[in-house]
Amino acid sequence: MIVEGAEHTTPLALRTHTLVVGSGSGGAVVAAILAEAGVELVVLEEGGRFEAKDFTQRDDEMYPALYRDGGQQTTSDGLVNVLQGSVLGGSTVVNTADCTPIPPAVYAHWRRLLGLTALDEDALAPSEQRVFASLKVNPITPSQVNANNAKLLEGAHKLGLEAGTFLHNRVGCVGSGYCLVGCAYDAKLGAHLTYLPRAVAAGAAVYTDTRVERIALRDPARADGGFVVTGAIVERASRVARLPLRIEAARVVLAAGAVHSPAILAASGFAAKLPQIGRNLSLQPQMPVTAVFRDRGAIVAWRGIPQSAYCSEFDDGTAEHGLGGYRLEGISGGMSQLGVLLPGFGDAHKQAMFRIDRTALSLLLVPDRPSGSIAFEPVPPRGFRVHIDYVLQREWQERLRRGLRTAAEIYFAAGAEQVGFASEIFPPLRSPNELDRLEGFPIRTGVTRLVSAHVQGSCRMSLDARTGVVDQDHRVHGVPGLYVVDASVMPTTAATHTMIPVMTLADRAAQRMLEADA
Amino acid sequence: MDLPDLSRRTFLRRSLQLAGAAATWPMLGTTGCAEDGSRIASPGEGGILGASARATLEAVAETLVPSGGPFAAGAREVELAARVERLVAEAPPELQRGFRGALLVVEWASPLLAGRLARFSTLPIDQRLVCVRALVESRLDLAREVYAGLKQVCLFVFYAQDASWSSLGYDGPWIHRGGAVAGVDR
Repeated sequence: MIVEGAEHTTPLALRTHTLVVGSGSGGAVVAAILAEAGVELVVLEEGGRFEAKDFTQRDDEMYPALYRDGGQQTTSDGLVNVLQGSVLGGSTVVNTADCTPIPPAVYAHWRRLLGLTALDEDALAPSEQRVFASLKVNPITPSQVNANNAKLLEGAHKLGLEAGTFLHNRVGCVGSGYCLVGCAYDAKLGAHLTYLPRAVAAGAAVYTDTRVERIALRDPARADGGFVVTGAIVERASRVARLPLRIEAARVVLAAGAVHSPAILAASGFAAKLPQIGRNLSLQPQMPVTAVFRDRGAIVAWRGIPQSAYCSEFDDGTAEHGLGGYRLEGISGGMSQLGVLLPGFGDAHKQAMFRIDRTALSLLLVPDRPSGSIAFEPVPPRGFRVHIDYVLQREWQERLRRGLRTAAEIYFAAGAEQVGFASEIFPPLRSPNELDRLEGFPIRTGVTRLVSAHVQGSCRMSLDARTGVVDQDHRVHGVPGLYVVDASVMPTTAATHTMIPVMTLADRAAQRMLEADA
Repeated sequence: MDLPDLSRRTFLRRSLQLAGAAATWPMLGTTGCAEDGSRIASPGEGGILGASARATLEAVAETLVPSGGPFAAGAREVELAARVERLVAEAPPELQRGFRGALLVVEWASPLLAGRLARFSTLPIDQRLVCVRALVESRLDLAREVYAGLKQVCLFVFYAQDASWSSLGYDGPWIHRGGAVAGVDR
């Protein structure tokens, strides 16, 4: 059963065994596994329900409908645009469908950093295999690599750099290119087409357009007495509260994402005993790179799979620091996004857009160290206003500049006439002779554009309440029955894309819940 | 009109986020759109700006996206300022205040940053370009953020219109609302 917010004419009051808050890569997996095991279960999702027929392939309609804050969520200083899906199925509806497991070096780093001995590649392998099977993960074939991504591969290979194509969870892709605004062909197998239907078929009740604002102990004198969860049924577009909701549950699985899960916990008063709530945030910021080639129409970046190729030569994962280095990944988007992405204004910007059909685009991905935090303020009737405070470390900035140099070298090797970056004040490079200019590349609010689609941390996993928020079974320290299962539990950035890591951990978390129930 | 307190940087910072957020504020969603995808009110209809602020917005829009050049369509041809104003009208009140604040910064402060004693909206296009450049190159975070926010909203909305698409080689969505999927065997 899926009930949309507009169907309610009276407040929602329910009692269930397990309440899952959020329907993305964490919540959907937990919901399916628990429901199929016979657990009475309710899923709440703040976003709306959208199906293939609803995806109009227009940025101006789909970003407001499918993304948190219409795709305009930023860090407090405005420097980083933090993209998160906010729709039934979460970010799996709007992501690039890249399937990247957690590398062994990351597990080793987590063991070394926080003593998380329960997590390693062998222990997680069965979960990962189940996730791969559920999503029908398969390799992107050479014929599916469009000219945009091919330029990245061509340049990397000419320089002898390691590069390749992703695994993905598309089946029957028609190459329309609208992955970031929802697949109108049901080819991208997100949670809305895989785990959530399984959960519903097994008896789970899913309520969309429902926002959780507070989780309270049902009996304040008993930590193990279950929960009362309150919030609102919201209007689809504005997210303004329309009717109250109240749900009693023996178990609550918080899976609202790395920005809103800590906000809900903090708003519920748990931060007093869990000081790490909202801390240790990683954004894994990425910078767009553009390369202009000679022939008009040579690169129709907006058709085909937007992100199929990568250059991984400078990946640097170790037990000492986890993910490091940098990598390049092809990217594209709709005309509105491209218009915003290209630097400049006036006639110069129109000239740049006029060259868009011979412009290759990629994202320079630079894994970061946890250095951000989440704060919130209630803004009734719209729920929370969340503040994402984040500082770019100097070491990260140095890796970014090295990565920009590599990007330019790759595109010049592929024949680019000029290579540009997401800066309003840094002119494009017109030949390899100008590469040294990148040493002074400025990173400043308002003139530099960074994007994060892999927000992680903020409720990190740890052995105790002093150093983290949840234990190795995703149980909130000191609050029996309350779990967090989403990207917020990642101690450090887990992989270069987060869907598979979150789903893998979620599968294990659900199995552990069932073992505990038994 | 609410005048922003220039010493309150947090508020002004949010003003900029407003300008960006307004670009895609959720009220733009899939409901209430005309058959042809157009959803903009006429200037004045549903407006939230006074005449002065509206003049500033029109000047900003036409500076960021001028008519002519590599392709004909510009802000004027698609009534960009009216579209942006309509968007902002659907945003929460604090974002609307921020948007007005951002326009005030452009109208009064950007000419000063460029060494001109005049209002932005009264300047000819070549001098407005200098003023916008002054925002971009300013040492003040606020000035740069004003630019970034207004650019974001204006360009996002402009390139959502099909007026420029054919010139760019973009053939538009494959799916038309209520219609068949073009060229795809499902």
